Amino acid sequence: MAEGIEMNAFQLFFFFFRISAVTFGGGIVILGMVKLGLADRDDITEAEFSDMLSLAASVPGPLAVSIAWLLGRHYRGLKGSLAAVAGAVLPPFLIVLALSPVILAYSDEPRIQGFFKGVLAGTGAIITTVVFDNVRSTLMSGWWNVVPFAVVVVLIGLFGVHPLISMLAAFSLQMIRERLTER
Amino acid sequence: MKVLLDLALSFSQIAAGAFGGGLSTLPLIEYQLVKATGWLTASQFNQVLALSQVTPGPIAINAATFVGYQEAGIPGSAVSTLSVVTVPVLILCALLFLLDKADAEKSRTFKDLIRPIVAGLLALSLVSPLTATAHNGFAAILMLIFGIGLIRYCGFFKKYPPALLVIYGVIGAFLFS
Repeated sequence: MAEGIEMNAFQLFFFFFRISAVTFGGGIVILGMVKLGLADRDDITEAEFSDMLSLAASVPGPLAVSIAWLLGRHYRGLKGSLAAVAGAVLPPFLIVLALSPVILAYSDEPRIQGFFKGVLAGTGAIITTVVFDNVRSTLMSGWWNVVPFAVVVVLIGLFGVHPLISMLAAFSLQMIRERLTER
Repeated sequence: MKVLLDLALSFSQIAAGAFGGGLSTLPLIEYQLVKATGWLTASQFNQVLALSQVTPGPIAINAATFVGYQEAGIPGSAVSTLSVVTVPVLILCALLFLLDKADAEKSRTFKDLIRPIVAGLLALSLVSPLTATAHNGFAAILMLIFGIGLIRYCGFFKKYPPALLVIYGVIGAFLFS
């Protein structure tokens, strides 16, 4: 990668296109790939990138989209943002779009159903591992964390409340507690 | 036309609540697509979840593209995917406008505050794939337990989880048909 030469819109598009096409599951993995891809560039500092990361993680929506928007903006403003986001979104969009008619046409096929059952068992294994580690470290990092955790689980899981409303309720609780512990 | 609007509304809501990225979005996706709209049955939801794990890209985008296509063809697919992208971008732009520059301190506090909420969502994301796998029989349960071992202790699968999924899919195609 050329050092010192800022990325133009095309390069931003292909930078994210390449990463997005081979990154499964999105999220944290894509941030790691972007960081690696930027490692030998001197037109963005470590501090600038870590500011982008914390901002990207504070907004809802896929991390791939928010980091692409911020990095595109860093290099080329609005045009760069649009190019980078397009690059990040197109690979998964095109691949799933190509697969959708096939899956819909053959979803009753026992072999296809079996395939998905197998994948789901593996997905269960991955999710269990990720979730177990995350939940344990979150709950261990402070006794209070159990409260908003339980609020979300009980409201959504037991009472079937809309997840957005449940999240808002738990977040309000967090804000109240933040205010009370401040003074 | 109405269905396109419904898709846009549903996926905007999913995007607006998708904090923490990835798996923590599942309870919201499931609520919108299974409970609120009925676009997917419980078992179709699990198929979409499995599909999103063997294709690149964020789960929300994979689900939007597939369900959009199922409900309204390519236009539906495009509208749904655009909704998942546009809402976060608008929120991000509003935040950039308000902050002027990234405020690391504030965003750290915010992350601390939503962390246990995200953990709750993550715990809920287990329910659907685990119950479905339990219903798929003893072999599926064994595969799951064995898979946890592989992801934890086998360097290769730890690094490339999709490889495990593809192998499991092929095994499943013969075992569960």
